[in-house]
Amino acid sequence: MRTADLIALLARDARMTPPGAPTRKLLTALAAGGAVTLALVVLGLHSQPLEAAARQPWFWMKASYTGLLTVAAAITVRRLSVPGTRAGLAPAAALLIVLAMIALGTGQVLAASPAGRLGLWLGHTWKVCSPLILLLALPIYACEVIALRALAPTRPALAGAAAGLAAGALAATFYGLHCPEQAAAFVATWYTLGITAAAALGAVLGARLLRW
Amino acid sequence: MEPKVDIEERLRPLMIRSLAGDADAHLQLLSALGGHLRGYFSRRIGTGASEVEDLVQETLLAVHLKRDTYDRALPFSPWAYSVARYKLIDHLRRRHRRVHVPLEDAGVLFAADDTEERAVQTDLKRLLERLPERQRTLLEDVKLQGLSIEEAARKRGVTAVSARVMLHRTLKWLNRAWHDENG
Repeated sequence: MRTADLIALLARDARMTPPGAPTRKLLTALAAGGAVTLALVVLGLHSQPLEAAARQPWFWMKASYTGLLTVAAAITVRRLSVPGTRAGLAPAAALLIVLAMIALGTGQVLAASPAGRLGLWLGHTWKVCSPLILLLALPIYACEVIALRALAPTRPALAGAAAGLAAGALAATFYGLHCPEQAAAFVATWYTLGITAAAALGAVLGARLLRW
Repeated sequence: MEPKVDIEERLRPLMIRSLAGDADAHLQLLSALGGHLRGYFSRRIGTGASEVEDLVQETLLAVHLKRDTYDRALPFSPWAYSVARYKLIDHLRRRHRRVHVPLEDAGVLFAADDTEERAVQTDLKRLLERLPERQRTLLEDVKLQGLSIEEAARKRGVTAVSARVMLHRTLKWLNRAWHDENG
């Protein structure tokens, strides 16, 4: 087939294309995947009701960390989802948010009595926290992959990592409803580990799934 | 080297009109881009004209199918260059070649314009032969006989809307089949 013929064919397929498709598709994906994960937390893990969680200051400590991280990661995904746009400052912001949380957790451990340090750090649920966050990230990540495949990320592994980060951080935000842990040191370690694992898995899968 | 500002002044309005559904602008845009892509890919991979033409066609199809990722508020050339560079990297990787493609100013895409298409057999022709009968005849009516969608639809006794949908799906299928086959 001649290129000129292909172009004529493509011109026949011209149509009104509404603006804003990338943002719309990615927000829809986060909402859809987030709804699945929230349902899993509420129904599957029998989380406490939102009103009860909202009265606890440590819920807000966890939600601010993972919520801010979700926003920074989602902006990164959006920027990496189209050709010709650099990632910008959002990845640096995500890194700063993580570092701030680690600093907070480290400070808490150092300020505690030596006998109480291990308890602060491990809590009661350290074994299940990271794996659960990773599992809960999967529905969100899957929806993001569907959206990204309809877009055009020119760096598939990087876009996949950012999508995994956003999925992990949003999943961790919902997991915070269920999770009884109160220590910053716990969150800085085990939440971050689960979210990082989601980002790593996202990069590996993204390199394969997000090519177009 | 053609100054970049001219490219922007010429191509960006065409892209914006094409996104508004203007088929004529879309045709002009893709034709202009085709020449630039041919020039860029020839300089980058040098070898066989059919490989270059395959890449030109694959990239034009991607520009077409992914055009909703272009933000009308931004310059057009970085978007187009980024699509072209991605397709080049993807192509080289699939053939297990050295995949270092320098990230240059978007102007390199528009540095040369090679509008002369070589008579070569491209992958697309082979893929078209794998299409189901109905889709292939629609494509041939539109492509070879130059019928409009409406005329082609009437000839085959389907509605214009379903012919339009079929054309769009066929283009998406071609893009995927191309990728899977060479993947």
